[in-house]
Amino acid sequence: MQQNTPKYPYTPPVAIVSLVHCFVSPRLADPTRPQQSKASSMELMEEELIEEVLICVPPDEPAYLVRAALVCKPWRRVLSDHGFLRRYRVFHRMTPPLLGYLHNLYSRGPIPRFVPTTTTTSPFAAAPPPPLGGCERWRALDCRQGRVLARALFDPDDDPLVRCLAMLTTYPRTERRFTGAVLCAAVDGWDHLGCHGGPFMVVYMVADEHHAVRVSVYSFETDAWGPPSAAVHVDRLFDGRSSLLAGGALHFALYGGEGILKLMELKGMT
Amino acid sequence: MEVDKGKGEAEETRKVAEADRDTVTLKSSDGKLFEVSKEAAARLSTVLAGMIAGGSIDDNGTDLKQIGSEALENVVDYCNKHANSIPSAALISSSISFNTAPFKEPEEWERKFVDRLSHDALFDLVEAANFLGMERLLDVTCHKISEMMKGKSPDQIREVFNIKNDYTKEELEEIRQELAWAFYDD
Repeated sequence: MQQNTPKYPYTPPVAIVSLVHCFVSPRLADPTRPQQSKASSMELMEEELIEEVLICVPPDEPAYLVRAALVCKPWRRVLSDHGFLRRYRVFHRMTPPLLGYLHNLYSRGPIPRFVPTTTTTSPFAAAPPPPLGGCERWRALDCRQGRVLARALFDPDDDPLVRCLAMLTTYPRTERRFTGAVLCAAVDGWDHLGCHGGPFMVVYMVADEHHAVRVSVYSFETDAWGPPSAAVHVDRLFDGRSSLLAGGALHFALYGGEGILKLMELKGMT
Repeated sequence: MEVDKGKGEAEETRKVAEADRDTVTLKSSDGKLFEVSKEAAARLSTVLAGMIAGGSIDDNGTDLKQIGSEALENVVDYCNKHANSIPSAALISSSISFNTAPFKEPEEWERKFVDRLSHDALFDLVEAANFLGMERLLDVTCHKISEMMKGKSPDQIREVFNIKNDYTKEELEEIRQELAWAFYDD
């Protein structure tokens, strides 16, 4: 009778197995499993090791990660994993990178609204990132946690902000003062490192000719604008600067730097 | 009985001797032996630290059947170089939770250490570092691989790393259109 001594499965000493489970099991290959052929190509690498490599990709050019996703499907799977972005940011000690900025200058002709600050998004490229398409016709009101709040300049009927405006005031539109803010609607204490794509809320604020300010809040979850708030009178109106979120309240600067309008109880307003 | 007792004592003596040594002997899958500084091994590898603490180090060579001799030689080389270099304060921190800590740039000697490796040797070293729970070595090797991807198109990355493209033409085109901004300078 021919007796084959199987090379595998290799049974490691008990001490090693317990160590594996104690210290490194999340990232470690199962030592009882037959040893794979050498990883002479990254194709043979396990996904958890591919993740270790991809997490090292320098954050200065976000396009590198997008290109890596096109290498093969396992890479894309790793990169689109929910936890990857969070780990990536912790690993590189980064707040989300500055990809560019938006401006509302239009007195000097049609210049792109989005000015990229990374080299892969060439300033001479014909089209800005898709979500900002057609941006000559809108004005940016706010930008926070990876979202931009923009309002159409020519009041098309399908702009939800314009509909909200009509609800908040009947004052002639050319004279109205408005501003708004967009923010993550996730629970308090969330660090907002990976909240884009999650629930958000839009705060829209309109003042009429008597400086009476009314606010409505749009909720992503109900996909509807809440009822207008009671009017609050202010001596000075808000200026064009975007709002500041601090201590659970939104703060809007008033003209002439003479005051700040503080909007409280944001979570309760939906 | 007496023979057994004597053998037990000899075992005891051998263990004491083992504990006194300042190196440990590791054995690769192909049976080659390597000596490594015990202090560095315990500091850099959670698995080796556990084995040293648990007394499961074999004086005649601790079997590491997952690791070939070339990769193990590099592991040992790294440990010994680390033992001889003055580690920065950042590297001494003993976190066993992987990648919850921010990354620290490779030091000059670590760069040189991985720069001289072939692709195959580098990939093998990544796996060995992972197997042995060597967080720093894993970071340094993975960092090196990620640097090789810098500024390359998906095609070039596949070529460098010998990866098969498992996307269909249509799938690729769809993603490229969706994320066109990432491909301006292709």
